[in-house]
Amino acid sequence: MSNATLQLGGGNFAVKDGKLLGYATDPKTSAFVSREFDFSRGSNLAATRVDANGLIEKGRENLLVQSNQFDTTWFLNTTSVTSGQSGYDGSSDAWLLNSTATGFPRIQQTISASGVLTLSVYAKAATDGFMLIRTFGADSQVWFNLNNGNIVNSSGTEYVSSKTDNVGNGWYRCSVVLNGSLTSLRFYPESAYGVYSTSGNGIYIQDAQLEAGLVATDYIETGATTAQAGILEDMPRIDYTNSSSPALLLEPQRTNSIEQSEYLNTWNTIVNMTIDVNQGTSPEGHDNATKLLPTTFNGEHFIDKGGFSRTAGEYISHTIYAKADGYNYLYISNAASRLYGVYNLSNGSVEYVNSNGTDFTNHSANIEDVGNGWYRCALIGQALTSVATYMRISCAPVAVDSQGYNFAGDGTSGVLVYGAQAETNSSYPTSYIPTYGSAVTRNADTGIINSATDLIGQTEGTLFLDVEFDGDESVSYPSLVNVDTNSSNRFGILRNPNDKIHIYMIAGGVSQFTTDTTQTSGRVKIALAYANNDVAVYVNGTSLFTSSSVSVPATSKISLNRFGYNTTLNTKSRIGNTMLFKTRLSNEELATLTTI
Amino acid sequence: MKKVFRKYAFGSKGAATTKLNALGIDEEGQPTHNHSIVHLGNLVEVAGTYDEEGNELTAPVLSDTYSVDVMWDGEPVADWDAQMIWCPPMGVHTFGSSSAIAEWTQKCKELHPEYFPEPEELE
Repeated sequence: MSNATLQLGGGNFAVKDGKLLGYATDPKTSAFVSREFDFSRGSNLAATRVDANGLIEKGRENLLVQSNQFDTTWFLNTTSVTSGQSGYDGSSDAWLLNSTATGFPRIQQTISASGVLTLSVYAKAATDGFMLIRTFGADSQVWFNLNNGNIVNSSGTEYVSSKTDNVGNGWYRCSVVLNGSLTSLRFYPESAYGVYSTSGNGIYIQDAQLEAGLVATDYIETGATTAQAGILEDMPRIDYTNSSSPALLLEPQRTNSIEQSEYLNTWNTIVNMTIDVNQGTSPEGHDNATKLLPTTFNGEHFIDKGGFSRTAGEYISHTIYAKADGYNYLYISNAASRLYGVYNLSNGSVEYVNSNGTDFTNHSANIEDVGNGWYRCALIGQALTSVATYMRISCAPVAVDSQGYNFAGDGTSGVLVYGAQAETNSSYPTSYIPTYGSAVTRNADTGIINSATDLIGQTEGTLFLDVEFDGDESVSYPSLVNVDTNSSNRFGILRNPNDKIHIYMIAGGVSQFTTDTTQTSGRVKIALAYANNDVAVYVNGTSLFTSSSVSVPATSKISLNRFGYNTTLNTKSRIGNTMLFKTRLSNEELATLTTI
Repeated sequence: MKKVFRKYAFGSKGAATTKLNALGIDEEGQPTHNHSIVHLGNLVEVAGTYDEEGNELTAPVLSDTYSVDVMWDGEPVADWDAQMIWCPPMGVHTFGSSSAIAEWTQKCKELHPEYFPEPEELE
């Protein structure tokens, strides 16, 4: 078999400076050289992937500036700071925060941030043994005893929770979770609970961080501007879902309409249910799972989140991660009995899914094992009415064919949940979009090489794609991988609104051929080999289509999840491998190449 | 390419659609531009209440304007400025982009400092 002129994936994905690297064979030296796809999404905080450890990775941001440079930007109120102190991490990067006068000694930073936020700082007792963290706008105050790591007291109208993590050598990471519009944050050294520091006394501090979410995550150093880590805005998402073999995750633009996907205490209606945050390790690998705990009241137990609408004719996809924690059954519904699903969290099955046929139809449900006892449960339905609506979550010790089950909780049993999502106008769910106070949109992932004429066989060639796809596609012919110059000269592999995969070629504005797979989901290997008056399409080792009457179009661009001339026709796929050859591979080679 | 996030309110869905179509659509009605559009519609200003069967107890109160959020691929189109609105951060919807949120917040603070109250200095 001849060498591919371009390969992307095949077990080896490379990303450099936000570019997705394909590999081409230099025709003169036969050496591999990288060819860059311009990759675009423009979303970091809305994008997640499953990393090589099988955990959900988010885009993260430290919203503070000068996060460990306390002598600039920070305002010192009757305090001084001295750098070069021994830090929690073995460095000399800690600071001594000392009082210089009586009053309200503190260090503070003004900020504009809103939603669910976690403020953290590493702290250690010096001549003072206590620290007060106080926030304004979003009102909270928490007193930490740095001698033993205890939280002495906490209060505030926007206060959610707090914790200390003992990181050794007398250091604690002190964190406060709040929910509101933050305008200022302050760290006060104190000699005792409620007793402000006096001149010459203080504490050690290091590495402050303010981030969205219910837990403090790995520290991100900032300077004059905020800094990001994890998934970045235009970073391709190499995804390890259900596999040790990575794939490029490509998705369409989607919005999570649930304004609080993790802090469920803010949901609109809470009926006979206790909601405890940070009660277990989530699929993210942090202790930010929420426990839904039905009360001992004998009756219904549920929580609702509204603030979005369903539209007649459009699908809604609801998802939430859940893990049994005493009770084995999760209930998801939209508008109670109008559309509901019941999920078995002990064996990973869907017990019931239904709709009333008046408000919803075409219902379906799915449950996906994501490891460590967690499942992602999905409920999908097509709305028949246009009205404001809501997502409801419940749990129970038994499964019944209903939107919920009336019973008396035992006071300890429930389920752990994480990452609620409702995607309107969506016939299938996409990856998790975290929200902390507002609905959030993740833009479509797209990639393109704009000048690729040298990589594309202009008179003969082969396009190969190894891809996983699923879901009921409702968009008309969105692109998986496409080769084109314009809409009149192109070929490629698309999704089809009938859920199949569509392989086609157009030259001079005239359709040369089209053919569809029979497969409507799962992994598929497809090869399109072409030459003038000679086309063959192989799928999973078998010939699907041949033609002896085609003209090959002149093409110059290679696109992923878009067309060269249109960026908006996107779909969901996981591309494991795609290759271009400048030769028409033999039918035997096509069969070998596409055999799974 | 710099991406800029802005919020807009129109008198009706039709008025919004007219403006959106003017950005460019092909013969199949698909956008030919690279901007990201999110139709928020008539926002729920007061959530409805429902009984356990999902029957409406009190109807939600909806805004009488039709809201659209746009992530511009480049600078916002000036022709849309008359419909641009500002609100305390971040309103009911945002795009999940650190750079776009930072730019929007800074601009909002310049135009509407009242949405960013200074903290009380009293203890």
